[in-house]
Amino acid sequence: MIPTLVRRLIAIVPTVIVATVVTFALVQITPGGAAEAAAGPTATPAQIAALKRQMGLDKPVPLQYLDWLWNMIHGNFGQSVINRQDVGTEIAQRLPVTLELTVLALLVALVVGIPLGIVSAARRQSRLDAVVRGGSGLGLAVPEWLLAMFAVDLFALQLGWLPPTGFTPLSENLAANLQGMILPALALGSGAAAIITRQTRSAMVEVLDSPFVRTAWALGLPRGQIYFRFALKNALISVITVIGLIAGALLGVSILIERVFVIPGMGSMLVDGVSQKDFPVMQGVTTIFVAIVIFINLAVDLSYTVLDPRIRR
Amino acid sequence: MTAPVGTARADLDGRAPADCLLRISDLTVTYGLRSRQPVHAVVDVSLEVHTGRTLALIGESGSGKSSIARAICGLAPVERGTITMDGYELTTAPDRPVAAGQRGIQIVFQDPVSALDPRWSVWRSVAEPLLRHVPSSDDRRERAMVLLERVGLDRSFGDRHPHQLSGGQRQRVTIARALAPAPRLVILDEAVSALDVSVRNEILVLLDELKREEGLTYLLISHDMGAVAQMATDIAVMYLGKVVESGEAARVIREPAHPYTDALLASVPTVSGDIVDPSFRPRGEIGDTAHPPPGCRYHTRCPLAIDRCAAEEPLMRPVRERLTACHRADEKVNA
Amino acid sequence: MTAHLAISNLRVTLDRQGEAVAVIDDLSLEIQEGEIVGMVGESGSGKTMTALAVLQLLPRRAHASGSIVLAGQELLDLPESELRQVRGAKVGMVFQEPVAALNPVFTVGAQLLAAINAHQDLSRSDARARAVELLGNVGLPEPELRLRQYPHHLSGGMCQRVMIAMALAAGARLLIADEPTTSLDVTIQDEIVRLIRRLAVESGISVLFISHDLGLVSRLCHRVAVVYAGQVVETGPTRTLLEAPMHPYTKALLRCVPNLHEVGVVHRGIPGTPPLPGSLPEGCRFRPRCEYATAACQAPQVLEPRADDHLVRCVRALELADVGRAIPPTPTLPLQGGGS
Repeated sequence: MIPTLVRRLIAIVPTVIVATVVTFALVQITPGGAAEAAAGPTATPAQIAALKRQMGLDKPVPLQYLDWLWNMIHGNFGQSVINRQDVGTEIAQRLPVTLELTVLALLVALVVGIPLGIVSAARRQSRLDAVVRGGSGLGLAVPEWLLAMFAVDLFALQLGWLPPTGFTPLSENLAANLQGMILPALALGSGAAAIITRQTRSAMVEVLDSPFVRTAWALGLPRGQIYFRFALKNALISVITVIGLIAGALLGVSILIERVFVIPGMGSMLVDGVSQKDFPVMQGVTTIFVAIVIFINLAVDLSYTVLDPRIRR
Repeated sequence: MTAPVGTARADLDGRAPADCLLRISDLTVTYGLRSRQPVHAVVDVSLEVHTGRTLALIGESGSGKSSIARAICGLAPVERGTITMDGYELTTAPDRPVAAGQRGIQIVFQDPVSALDPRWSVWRSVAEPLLRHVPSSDDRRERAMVLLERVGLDRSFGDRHPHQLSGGQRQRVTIARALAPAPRLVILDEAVSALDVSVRNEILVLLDELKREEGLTYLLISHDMGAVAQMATDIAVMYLGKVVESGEAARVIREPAHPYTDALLASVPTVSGDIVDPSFRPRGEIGDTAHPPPGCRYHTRCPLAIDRCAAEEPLMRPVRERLTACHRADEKVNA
Repeated sequence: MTAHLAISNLRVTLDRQGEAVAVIDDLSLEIQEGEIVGMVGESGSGKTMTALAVLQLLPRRAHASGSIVLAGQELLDLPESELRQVRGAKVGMVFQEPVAALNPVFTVGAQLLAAINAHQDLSRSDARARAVELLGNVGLPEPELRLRQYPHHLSGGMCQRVMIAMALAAGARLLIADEPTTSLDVTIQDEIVRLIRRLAVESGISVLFISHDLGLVSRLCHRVAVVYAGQVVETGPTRTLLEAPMHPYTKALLRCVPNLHEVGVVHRGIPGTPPLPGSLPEGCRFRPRCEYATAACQAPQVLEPRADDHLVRCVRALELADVGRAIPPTPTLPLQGGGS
C-alpha cells in the first residue's frame, strides 16, 4: 500500500506542474496587465514601464513562470498588487474555511445521496423511487446559489432559525461556526447530493441484479446486510468516481456560495482578485484550487485499490 | 523436441505427407512476451491435419487448444515455430488473419451471440465474407440464402435478426457464414459447447454432412470427449500447453496410452458404463499455465506418477501405434 | 412417509407486456429424506424457475401458485421475515457460474462467516472454526488460507466447493443444485458431482440436482424427473428410466447421451426447438418434435402412473414401451446408498 501511495504521489507531480503552466499561461492572456493595474488609470506609459521592470514583468514569459514557480515552491506567492498583503498568508487563512465548507457540503451529499440511492434502487419503480428521482432532478436543475438565496430568505429572515450571513471561525466557537455553515453546506451540497443519489441508484440497480447478490438472498442473510454491506461495497466504486469528477465543480460553486453567505473563503478572494486584476492573487488561488482537485482525484484513485481487491497488484 | 513431423505419420499408417493440409511445427505461443510474467500457452506443439480428416484437439482450461486455433488465424502471438497451410507459411505472412482467410481457413466460435452483429440481419452476416469479391448486394443476398438452406434454415430466417433466433439456429448461421468463402479447412472452436446436448447433436449431424458434401477438413477444438468421439478421425490430447497423446481417434479412445486421456474419458457422463478404470481419476486442480509443474506437467495430478515424472519431462514417442508423452506408457495395460 | 420436499401443482407465470405467460405448468415433484432427485430438461423448460420458486426468489414479474411444502411447512405465501429463516437454514442453493456467484470484493471467509452467522449464534472463534471445518468438508486443501483469499484467486471448481460449503453452512437439510457443473472443466465436473454424492450419503441430506445432461444425472441421482415445456413428462427411479423409458422425449434424450463405444458415429439429436412459453402447441407439447405423434396426441396429456413407481405424460406410453430404447446401461456407480 505504501509503495503504491509513494508511486502515485510521484506520478502526480508532472500533472501539477502542467497544471501550473496552463494556469500561468491563462492568467497571462487575460486582458490588462499586472503593472497597468497596479499603476492605476492615471499612470503614464513611462511609469508603467518602470513598474514592469520593478515587478520583473519585462522578462520573457517562461522566465517569469520559472521565477514564480521557484517562489511558490518556497511558499512565496507574492504580494497582492492592490493591498500589498502577502498572498500566501492570506491563502493560508482562507483555505481552511473553503475546505470546511466543501467538506461539509460533500458530507451532506453523501449522507443524503447514498441512502436515498440505495432505498430508491431497492424499491425500484415504486412511488418512493419516483419521488426520489423527481427530487434529484430538481436538485440538479436548481442552481445552488438560487437555492441558497431562497434558503436564507426562508430560514434566516423569515423563520429566524439560522443566521443569514456571517462566519465564526472554528477556533473561536464550534457551535456558532456550525450554525453559520449549515445553510451554506446544504445549498452547496444540493447539486452534488442529486448527482450522488442518481449514481448510487443506478450502480445499486446493476449490483442488485448480479449473481452474487442472488446468492446472498439464497443464504437467508438479513436484508440490511445485503443492501448496506454486500451490495453497497460493489456500487461504491462508481459513486466514488463521480465524487472525483464533481470535486472541481463543487469548488467552483463554492465561490458563489461564499458570496451569498459572506464567508471569508478563498472563493471571495479569487473573485476580488479577478475583478481587480490582481495577478498574484489570481495565480496563487487558482493554483491551490487546481491542486485540491488533483489531490481529491488521487484519493479517489487510491480508494479503488481499497474497495476492489481485483485491482490490487 | 518432438519426433520429426511427417516421418512419424508415415511410419504409423503409410500415408504420404503430401496429404497434409495444415502443418504445425514446434509451435510456441506466448502472451506478454516482454512483460514480467510471460505466459506460454502452447509449448513446442507439432500437429498435422490431413485433407478430408477431422483432427480433434481436446483438453481443459489452460491446455492451449484455443490458442492454437487463434495462432492459425493470426490472432495469437507466435514466439517460435511455423504454421503451414498447403505449403504456404502463415506465421511469416505480413497480415496473418487475412492470409489465413485467403488460404481457405475459416473459424466458427463458441458463442453465437457475440459472433453475430446484433444490428445486422442474418443474411448480411452470412454474406459478410463475400463483401470483397461479390460487389452486387443482390448477388450476395442470394448466395447467403442458398447457404442458409444448406445449413437447414428456411430462407425466411435471412431477414430476421440474431435475437430472434435460438442458440442452435444462431450457430447454424455462423456455420453458413464460415462456408461462404468456400473454405478448405474449418476450425470449430468449441462450436457446440454452449448448446444443449439435443441441439448439439443436431449441429454435429449437420457438420458431418457438410464435411462429406463440401469436401471439408475440420480442426475440432473441444473439451467434450462425447462430441469428439462422434466426429473425430484423429485426436490430439493437450494439457497445459503440450500435446500428451495423439493418434487415430478409435485407438486413442479405446486404448488410451496417457493417464490424462484416461481421466478425460472417465469424466464423460455416459449411461452405457465406464470404459475406463475409475482409479485413473486425477487428483487436485488443473495446473497454472503461467507456472507449470516441473518435469511432466501432469505429474501433480497423475495417479500413476513416480519420482522420474517430477524430474524429467517425457518426450513424445510412438507407443502402440500412436504418439504419447508418458514415462510409464509401456507399462499401462487397459482392462 | 411424508416427503421432505413436496411440490404440488406448481404453476409459475411471468408478466410479459401485460400478459401472464406460464413458464411452469402443473409441476409436481417429491423428494424423500436422504434422496437425490434429478431434474432434467433443455434450456427454457422451467427447471431453474422451479428451484427459484422453492426459495421464493422468483423475479419481480413472476407469480407462483400451487403448493411447495418443505419439512411440513408451506412456503408459498410465507411472509418475507419467515422466508429468511427458511433460506440457508432449511434449504441451500448452489448456482451455475460459481465465480460470478461469489461477491468479488469480499474474502471467502467474510462471505462464509456471514452465511454461518445468519442463522446461528456462535462466538467469533467458534464461527471461524466452523468455517474451516466446512471448507475442509468440501475437499478444499488449506482451508485457513482460503478464508483470506478472494474469489478471483480461486479456480471455478474451488469456488463451487465454497458455494456448496456456504449453502450447507447453516445446517440446511435440502440442497438444490442448479446446473452446478455446466461451466466447469470435465474432470472437475466429475469431482463436484462425486462431492455432492458423498455429502448426501454421509449426512443424509436431500438433493435436487438440476441439469440438462441426462448422463450426469444418471450417475448421481436415485430418481429422475424429466421436464419439458414447464411440465414433468416422466418420473421414476433412475434405473427404470434408463432401462425402460416410456416417454418419447426421454428416449430421445437418452439417444443424445455420449457413447464412447461407438467412435466415429454421429448420433442424432432432437430436431426442432422446445416451444416458447407464450406459444405452446395444443395438446401434447412435445408433439411437433415427436416421431410417434398420432391423432391421440392432440389432446392435452396427463401425468399418470404407467407402471410401478413410474409416471408418464403420454397417452401412447405403454403402446410404445419397447420401441426406441437406448442400449441397456451397466452403470458402475451403485445407485442405491453407498458412495464411491
